[in-house]
Amino acid sequence: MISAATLDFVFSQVLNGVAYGLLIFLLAAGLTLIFGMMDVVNLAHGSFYMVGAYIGLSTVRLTHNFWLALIVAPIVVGSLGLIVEGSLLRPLYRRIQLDQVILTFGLAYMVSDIVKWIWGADIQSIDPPPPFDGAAKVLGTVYPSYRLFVIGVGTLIAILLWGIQQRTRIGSVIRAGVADKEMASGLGVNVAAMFTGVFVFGAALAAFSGVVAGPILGLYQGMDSDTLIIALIVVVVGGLGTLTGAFWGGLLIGLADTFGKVLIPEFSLFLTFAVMAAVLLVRPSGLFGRKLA
Amino acid sequence: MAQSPSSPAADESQGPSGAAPARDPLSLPGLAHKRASDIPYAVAFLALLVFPFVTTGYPLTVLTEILVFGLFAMSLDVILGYTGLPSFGHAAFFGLGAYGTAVLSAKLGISNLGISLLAIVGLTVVAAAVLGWLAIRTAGVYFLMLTLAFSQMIFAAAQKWTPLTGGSNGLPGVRRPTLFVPGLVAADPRAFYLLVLAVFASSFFLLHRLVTSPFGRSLIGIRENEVRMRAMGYNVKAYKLTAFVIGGAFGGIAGLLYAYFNNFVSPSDVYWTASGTVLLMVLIGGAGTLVGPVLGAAFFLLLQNALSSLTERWPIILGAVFVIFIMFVRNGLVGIWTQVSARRG
Amino acid sequence: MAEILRLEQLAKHFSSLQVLKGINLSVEAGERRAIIGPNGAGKTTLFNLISGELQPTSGRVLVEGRDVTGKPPNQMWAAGLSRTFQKNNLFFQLTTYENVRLAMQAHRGYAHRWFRSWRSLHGVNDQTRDILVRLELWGRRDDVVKNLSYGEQRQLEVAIALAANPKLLLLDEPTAGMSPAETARTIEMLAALPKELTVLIIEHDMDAVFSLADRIAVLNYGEVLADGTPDDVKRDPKVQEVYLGV
Repeated sequence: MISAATLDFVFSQVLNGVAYGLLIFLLAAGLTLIFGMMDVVNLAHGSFYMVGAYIGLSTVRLTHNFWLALIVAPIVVGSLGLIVEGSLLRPLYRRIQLDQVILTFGLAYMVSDIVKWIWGADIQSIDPPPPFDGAAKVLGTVYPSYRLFVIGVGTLIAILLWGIQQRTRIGSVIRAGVADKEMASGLGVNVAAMFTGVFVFGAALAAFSGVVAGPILGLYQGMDSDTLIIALIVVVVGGLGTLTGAFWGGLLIGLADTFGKVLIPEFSLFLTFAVMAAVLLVRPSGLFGRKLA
Repeated sequence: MAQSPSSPAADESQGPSGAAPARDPLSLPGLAHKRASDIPYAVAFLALLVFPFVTTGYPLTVLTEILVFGLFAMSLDVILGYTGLPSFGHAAFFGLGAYGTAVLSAKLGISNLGISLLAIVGLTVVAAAVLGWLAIRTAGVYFLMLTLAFSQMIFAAAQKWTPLTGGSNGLPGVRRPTLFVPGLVAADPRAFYLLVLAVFASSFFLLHRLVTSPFGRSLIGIRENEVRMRAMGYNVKAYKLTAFVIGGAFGGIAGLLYAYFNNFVSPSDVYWTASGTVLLMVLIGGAGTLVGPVLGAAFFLLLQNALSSLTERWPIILGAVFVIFIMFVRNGLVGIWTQVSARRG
Repeated sequence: MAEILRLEQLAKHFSSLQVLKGINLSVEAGERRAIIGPNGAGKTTLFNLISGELQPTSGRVLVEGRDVTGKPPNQMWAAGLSRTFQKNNLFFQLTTYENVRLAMQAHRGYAHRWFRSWRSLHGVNDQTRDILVRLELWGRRDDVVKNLSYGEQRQLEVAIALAANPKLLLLDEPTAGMSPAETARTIEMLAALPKELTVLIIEHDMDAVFSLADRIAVLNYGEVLADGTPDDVKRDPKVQEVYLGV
């Protein structure tokens, strides 16, 4: 007979996993689109996440307004993304893919220290905003309401993105660009503008997720590389270039990571990467990706 | 021209061959230079040999570290620079070497250099053969991510397998190595430096032979046009795997030296950013030149040491240098040097 | 003279598209055989079937009497067949010399040697020089291939193919895209190839064809329209109607 306490525990872990999964989805979404569209593995994506979180932190400190932070951070980081794409990445589009990947790594290297310079190396956190700073009762379990908020926001954004992708012209242009750049260009799509747009959007979304994640995951030195790796796993497992893959991959990894940490703590980290390796070997297009020609 | 190939001995016959061009048909694309003489290498080696008798203390420590990471960078150059395999997981072999040595020394009390070397080379060759065989089934960005995943698996083991590796606290207590006879410990900085120099110089010699040999040229061919190589009858997979294993083994040796140097190994030495850092060293120095990566390692560590006394912000400067190099200086420090001397000569 | 290559009812279909409909061809050792025909006649496909890049739907390929139908390119290379490609497939960042030397060191079996310098392979280096001299590329030996003219790059393609010391050489439009001067030089070079070497050449340039070929096979819509000496082919009314624009 399973006790009520165990059920409670399992349920709250499920919620944890879903919340975490949706957080990584937000980060992975930008990463996967940038890869799908531009063939670039953006190793600076974690930097966008981190800078967004810290800008959110400062905004909250200055204005005591979390909601403002949710707007300011994406705008600032999106602008940074615009500058990066235009001045650094665009000249390299003619080069081999590896050069662009390495460039983003160099960038991340710099940004990591710039952040440390401005905000210091101590671990920080953002307080969850009212009215989500307490607990709520969900199906008989008491659960931090901020995480419910995260689940809500994550789901909302997922639906929004899906809607844009499936129902709007921009969405179909992006899908076309991901599927076949040259064809899209031949049909009159401004590929350069698309690249910039996708990159800026990815950066902004990463910053947004940084602020949202602030109260849960905290802000610390190395958060950029830690989170980037998880997002990379999600993108690989879900499928490079597909939002659907980022979503379901995020949930999958989020739940697996959460339960793994609880059930097999020594092994779960190793397993996560083993799964990533296995997917790359057996089905490189991931769960939802197109089979590459 | 319908003659059968002569016996193996005939090709390496005595006497000068007027056919071989005076100019080296390049591992560094686009830059012709005269056949490199061995004198600069001899001079450099002598300078390195004499150094510890001129000064000890901090500069010697820095130079020791440069040699260790120079070897690490060279080993990656074989894989990345010469064969063209974009490995982002080279820290895996460094980590295996470092942790292997640390476990032997700190946990099992074995600090004998000979035994450790044998163990580490054995370990990394097997690991590189397995991982390489799997990774070579992919290419490009997938190869990059797969090598990254593999090295993260090793990181996860280092981080979580606390009984063996000390977990996130790392493994301290690595003793300096003993040579040949128990009691002959290369403990003091000068002796240890000379040991590191010996390993570095031997490795450089072997790798230099490798990359200027027909085998090395084949690797370059694979990097430049894999399809053509296959059409010419080369077993490209076998060459790639061999290069990967050689790179892995020397990476492991670098890790071994590092463990003895630092007396302490921690998971951050195997974290994926470490793979990125050594990649930085290779590219700043000049990929595919063997000497370049050593210079890149020196550049990185000197900057880190020099600047960190002036400012803690050296990563920003280094990162900026790197970004500038990637964008404008395609062939690294060696490329700059070659262009300068070509303009003069 | 011995027969070196025979194609028996060689055919290739792609789904419902019949590119080659049963080609019969016999080539004698030392012969210079030209394959001509309008675009889309199936000439390159024919080469691909012989050299192993493609598998035939039916029919046989025999080299020196041995059935080599469908063997992959590296086995055909080992069997003494060498080919060039329509599109240059060279090591553009390496020197002319190195392009040929890489082929030569593989051919002579020294590619795996790892300790002594590549310079010590005197045989490889001597034969590389011989080929480059013969193809008038020796002066360009230190130049990076991407800086070579298009014509020189085509010549290099031939040089690499010759490095393997083949018995049978397949040349796919060697003068394509060349200036008249380059074409003339290439024709001279091809004419000077060893007499023992059998050469199969796809060409559109009629000067090249009529000055080089011992016999000509005309392909049209995947079938052999005519097969004979240059004079026979010139006089053949079917050929005149379809191809020579008369």
